Amino acid sequence: MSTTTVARKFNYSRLIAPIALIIFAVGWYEFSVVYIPNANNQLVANDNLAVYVPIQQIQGYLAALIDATYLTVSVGLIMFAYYFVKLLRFRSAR
Amino acid sequence: MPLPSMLPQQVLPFGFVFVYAAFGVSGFILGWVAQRGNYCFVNAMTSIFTTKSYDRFGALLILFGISALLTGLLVVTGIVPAVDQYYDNYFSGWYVIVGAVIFGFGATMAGGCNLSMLYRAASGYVQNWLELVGMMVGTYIFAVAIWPFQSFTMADGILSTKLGAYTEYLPYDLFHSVSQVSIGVTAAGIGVPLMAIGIFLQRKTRSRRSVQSSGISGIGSLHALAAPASTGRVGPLPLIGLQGTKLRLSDAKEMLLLRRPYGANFSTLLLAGALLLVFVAGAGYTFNYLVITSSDGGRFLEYILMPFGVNLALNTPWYNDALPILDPSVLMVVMLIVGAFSASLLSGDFKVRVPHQRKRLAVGFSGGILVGIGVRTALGCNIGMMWTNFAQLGYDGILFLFSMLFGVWIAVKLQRHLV
Repeated sequence: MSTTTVARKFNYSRLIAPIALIIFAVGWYEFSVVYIPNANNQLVANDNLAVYVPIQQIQGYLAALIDATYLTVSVGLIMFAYYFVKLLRFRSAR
Repeated sequence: MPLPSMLPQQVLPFGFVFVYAAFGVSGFILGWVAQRGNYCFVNAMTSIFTTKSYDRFGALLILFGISALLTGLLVVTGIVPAVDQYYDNYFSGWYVIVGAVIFGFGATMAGGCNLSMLYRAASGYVQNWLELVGMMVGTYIFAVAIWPFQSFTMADGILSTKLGAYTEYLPYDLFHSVSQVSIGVTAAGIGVPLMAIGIFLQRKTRSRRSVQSSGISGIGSLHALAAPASTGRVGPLPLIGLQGTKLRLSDAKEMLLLRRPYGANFSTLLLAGALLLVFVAGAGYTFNYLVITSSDGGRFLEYILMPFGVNLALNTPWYNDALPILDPSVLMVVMLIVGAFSASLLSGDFKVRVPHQRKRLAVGFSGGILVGIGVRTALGCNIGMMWTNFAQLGYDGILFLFSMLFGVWIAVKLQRHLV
């Protein structure tokens, strides 16, 4: 079997997807830290308390989110490693 | 007679971190299970009108029934106070019916309900990505064009109730009491018939299928414009206790290793478990509207615009008076996407899928707009309004169910003409 044939059989999106997952998780966390508290403060400054969220809740969200982010990044790395090894096996099978 | 309490009581006083974490875990379970079970409310309904298959619709009824029974049981046994079950019951009115019809129609055209839209988008279905974008646009259209009028009718009680909470709580409506007896009787009165009908419909379909002994797809064969179904197994597993048979070890192993999709009834049990988790964890924090996904369709648009210096919550209708800038459903939906993505990737199902027919993309987007308008008009989607409301022992879920079925039926008829 030629290298080209073997390489064609490997679905590269499975290698890229975990990286996308990691970027999504880290990006979402960064977004949450920077923009959500800021937008919430804007509401207070504009006397709009109808959709304002107490600060304790935002802190709870960020605390839970950091754990979820660690978990997601870890899972993403494991997936990436798994599919990377698979790719190497495919390539070495030439 | 004193009015029922409106002071929520916490069951697990561990603070907001715990609540958010519980919603995150529940979201992950929802995404994972829905992806592995290919659990789609819209497909369950379209299959009634296309292939006369009631397998998945039966599973839905079982889900509603078991959710009502188990949440009712938790309240009756005193684990969760009754106030935490009815505190967030919504108003009811014309908008639930109109919104659910629009939602059913739009979701059928787009190829996914609010749950399947998210897990399919996470599995690489481009059509559902566009549905999600369309939903954000539809939510904005609703906010500026419909909400001002709708909120006026709600405030003035025009074809609408005005109070919500215990006035929308069936035990109170039926017995003028929120005692444990009235709640238990109501929960059993809703849950048992729903489960019985669900099981009956599934058995009827299976017996018909065994007679025909030919592969009938649970997904409507005329469902040509919808996103194709994932690898989920059609119909109930013949392995679950509900069906009177046992889960074989080899099957369990296959499912654990992600080689085999989950059956509809097995998925139903896991989804009900995820709902119970947030019901207990969120009790007393006023988040006990349980599972919710549609609000975040609107909220994501709000979030996307924030880096550009636009805060919709400041001056846009609905965003500035009805949508808290953050709540646990945010983490639930994010983790739902992560769960579905992980399940699809690990099972080898993940693939970026662009439909061969380009018109599907347009249909997905425009269907998404209708979904956005429909869910906001109805004050919730098939998850946040219908399923959750059955678990809250309200009656909006019943209204939503029949209205959504009507919308799905119209869409199926229309698709027959288009194909």
